Amino acid sequence: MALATVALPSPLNPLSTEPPVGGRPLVEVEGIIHRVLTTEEVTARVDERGTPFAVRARQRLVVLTKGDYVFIVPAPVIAVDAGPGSESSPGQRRASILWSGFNAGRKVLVADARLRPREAAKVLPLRVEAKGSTVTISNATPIRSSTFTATPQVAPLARYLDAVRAATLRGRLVPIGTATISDEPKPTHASVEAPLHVAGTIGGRRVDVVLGDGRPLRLTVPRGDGKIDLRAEVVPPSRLLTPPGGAGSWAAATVDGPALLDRAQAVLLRIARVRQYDSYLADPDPRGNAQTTYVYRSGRRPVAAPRAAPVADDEAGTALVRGLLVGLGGAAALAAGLAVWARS
Amino acid sequence: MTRALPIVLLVLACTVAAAGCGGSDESGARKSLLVVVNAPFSKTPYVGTTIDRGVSLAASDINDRGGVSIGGESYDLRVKRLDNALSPRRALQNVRRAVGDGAIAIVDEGTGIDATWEVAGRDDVPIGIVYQGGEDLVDAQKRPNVYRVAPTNHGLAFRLAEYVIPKRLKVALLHDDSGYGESGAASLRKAFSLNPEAIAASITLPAGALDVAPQVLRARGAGATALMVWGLPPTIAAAITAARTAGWDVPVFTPPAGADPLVRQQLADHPSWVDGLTFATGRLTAERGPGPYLAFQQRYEDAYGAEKVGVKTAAGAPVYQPPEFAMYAYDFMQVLAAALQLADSTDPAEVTKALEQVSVVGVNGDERGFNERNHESVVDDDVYFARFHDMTFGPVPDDPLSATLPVIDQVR
Repeated sequence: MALATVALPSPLNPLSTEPPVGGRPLVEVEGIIHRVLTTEEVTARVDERGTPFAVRARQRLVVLTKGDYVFIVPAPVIAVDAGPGSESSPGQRRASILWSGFNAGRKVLVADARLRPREAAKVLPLRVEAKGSTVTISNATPIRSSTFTATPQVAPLARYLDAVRAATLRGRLVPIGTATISDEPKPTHASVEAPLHVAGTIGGRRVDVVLGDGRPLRLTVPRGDGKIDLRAEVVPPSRLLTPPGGAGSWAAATVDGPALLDRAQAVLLRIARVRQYDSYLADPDPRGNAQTTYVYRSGRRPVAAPRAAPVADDEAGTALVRGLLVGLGGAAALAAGLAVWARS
Repeated sequence: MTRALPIVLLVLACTVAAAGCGGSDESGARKSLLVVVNAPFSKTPYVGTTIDRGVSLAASDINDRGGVSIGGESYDLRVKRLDNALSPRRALQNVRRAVGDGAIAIVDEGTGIDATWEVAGRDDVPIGIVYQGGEDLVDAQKRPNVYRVAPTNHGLAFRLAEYVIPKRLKVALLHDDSGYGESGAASLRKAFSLNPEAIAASITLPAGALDVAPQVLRARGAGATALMVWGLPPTIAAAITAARTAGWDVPVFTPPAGADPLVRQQLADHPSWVDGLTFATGRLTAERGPGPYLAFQQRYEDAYGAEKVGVKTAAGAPVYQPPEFAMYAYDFMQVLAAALQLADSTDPAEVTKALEQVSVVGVNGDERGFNERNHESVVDDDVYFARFHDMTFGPVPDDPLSATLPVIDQVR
């Protein structure tokens, strides 16, 4: 049987355009890619039904590469200010946060951004739904992704899966891998999610759960007083990475080839999804390891002020007057012209 | 009867044209948009000329590229020069005239902005300041039509303080009573406010005075071990002359005006007096190296010739001035062209708003652009220090940014 080497899914490639919210950042404006440590906290205020009505994102960048930097971070910005400890002030455009300057060695940049809720909320990883006497929280990150089935050589694939597990446990970048297969790969699809660790309280009741990673994607609890106070973080698929039957490694475990290949892809795609949700606002360092914490809190949705009676727009009025004058001028000119014409 | 019909049509055509015309006019095959340069051509000719040349070179480059495409039509940029003579009153007259002439933008040295921004703002005409760095001149919220591509006084003053204070110098702050000097002094006071022990004296000099020996003597008497002179080029030359004539070899620090050719011309008889003069200004080159800047300098010199300072090195080589402020004027024009394109309109209001949304790669390779919160395009971090030796200057070695920058050749 002929052997073929096929690429496994990249743990780095995003599975969808968003997140990061607004897409990838422009980070090579001046030809330099900077080493940046990125941490973020996204706070969503949810109403009594669990729907987000206000979203803020605080992005903290520690720039480590000496030299000029220009970062354009896409974001549906309403307003942005420098956050605590920031050594510079961010700029704002309709759809981005801007940073530029010179870094003499280490520079801390903190943006505190108020985001347009509709665009910002659709990229949040946790959905909260309060209905009747219950509240359901669900992992909102699942996406359909292309995979394939085949019969791989077990030993090298098991060793690769052990390397992926070790990198994940140590918080390092996961290596890209291949599999050697002995039959024709058959394309298929799978739903993959970024496993989500959610902790906090719902209606006064303590919650501490991982949604995904082979566990259920949703949890329903009694509503209680209805107050939501949750923190959510995406976590690596450590359960799916654990070898079965108490084996110390995948190399030592007894797993058949197709199942091992299936598991490897499930793990890699989830790691790619985790990486996406770990940078809600785009990380200016494409090789970086951003971390994002999502905070959900109950709040009262602001009541819209009654609409004021329409007021005549000065500019529109001026334009109207100008138009009328031009029209009258034209009519007068036409009349004068006709008079001349009639007498000639 | 047949003779009169065309008259009717002509009258109608004129009426319709009058309704549709904006600030543009016909010039050759393409329509054109007017950009007015409001600068001190008569009082500080180097500043006026370099701004004008930067604007004109940019306009020429943009026109050579096919102009600016707006609504499917190409427009050339046309430049008109008005002399503000460093007078706010003249600056105001010029801006009124520019607005009356239908200018799409005004490129300004900065004199009189406190009055001119409002006049231009009534018609939403954007003003791009490309020389003065006064902190109050630009405010994205209060003066939405004012933008700047030039180092700010805030950045210059804070960087100067950051550079001088660790050297444990006792600084005498000397400033002249020109708008440039007063606004610089205000920024210096803020920059040194947390380190009052670093200030030996703060003294005002009359702008244009040839002899400021009494004031310099006062600074020396106050225990100063450094002079920070913020004023017009003649003021800086006068302060150096007063110190050196008295045999006082005190280090002198200045804003960008210290590099104005006039300072060296006035001290040409005593070249050693210029040695050690340290000035703060915006960097000429960016991270990607001197290539982009040198390419611009070459094009500038091809168009206008190299700018002679009018002094020579000890070896007798003529000294040339790098076109720093022409670079800022050129960059503002490129950002303006990008904004016109984005706005897809010749309505100045649309262009003013679009200026907040665009960036271009500037002459030195740095990003140039504005945003909704900030109408400054030269960040404070980009201020570096250069020191004179033998009538030419180079970056100082004891500042993290300056130490990374190459020396720009000033001798041919």
